[in-house]
Amino acid sequence: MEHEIPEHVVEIKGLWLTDHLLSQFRKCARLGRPLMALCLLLGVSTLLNSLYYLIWYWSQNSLPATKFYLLEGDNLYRLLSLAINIGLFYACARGIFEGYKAWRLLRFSETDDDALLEGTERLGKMFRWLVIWAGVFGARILFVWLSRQLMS
Amino acid sequence: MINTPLDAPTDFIPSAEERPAGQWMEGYWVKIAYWAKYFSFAIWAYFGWLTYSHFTARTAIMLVFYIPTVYLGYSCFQFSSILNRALARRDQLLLQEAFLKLHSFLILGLVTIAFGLISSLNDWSITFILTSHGH
Repeated sequence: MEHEIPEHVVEIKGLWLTDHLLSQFRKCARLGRPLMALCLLLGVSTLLNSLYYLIWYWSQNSLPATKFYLLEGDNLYRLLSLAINIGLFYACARGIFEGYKAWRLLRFSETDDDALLEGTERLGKMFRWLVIWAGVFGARILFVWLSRQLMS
Repeated sequence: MINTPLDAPTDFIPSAEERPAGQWMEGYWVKIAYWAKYFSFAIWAYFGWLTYSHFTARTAIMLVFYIPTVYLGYSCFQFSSILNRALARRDQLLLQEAFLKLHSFLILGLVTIAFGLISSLNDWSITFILTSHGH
């Protein structure tokens, strides 16, 4: 025997943007924005700390006026380290930027469908950039560990 | 009495003003769940590295400050897996639960960042000690 499903019942199947769900988005957004601001503060503090130490190191070990050799001393290590750090800070900044935009849009998504869509899209981008940042961070740990092994 | 599909949770009935999420939103949720899963693995890997480095430096007691990191990874993983299940089963209640987990993830994120900032202050003091005393 074949059952007929009424049309309005079929429409219920699937995922809905209920008031409860939308209020959860806004609740998350209230926490997400200060979290991103604190992440930015931590990132800037770490960056300034690294730069301060680097400048101090250069002032103590001023480079000789002779030719620059990549494989001499620890020039290769310092250049690779600098490149990895730039990648690390870029990925982190992009993740924070996407996250901050996402939470700001979701905060005001109650009456704006475009903000809801863009905010959700940017939330995915935030997680993607944070994964990339974590990947670069892992590469940095591996790089430091390998250099120590090679130097010892 | 309002009918609901047999395989849908009986305590979810959308009101007249509520709308389906639509293909775009569901597509974005799929991407969020995918990347959030890998981010949770990254958080656990970071904790693994911290554990290794503190044990080799004989400062294992410092790991107490990183316990929120483990829960941070766990709540991120839960968010991702519940969201994936909600999308696969098309279950509204699971979807709402997933975003509740995202809220917990954000609270834990705030706690972790607070510890991170304390650790950053410690890094600054180490840098000042190093630079004021030379090599």
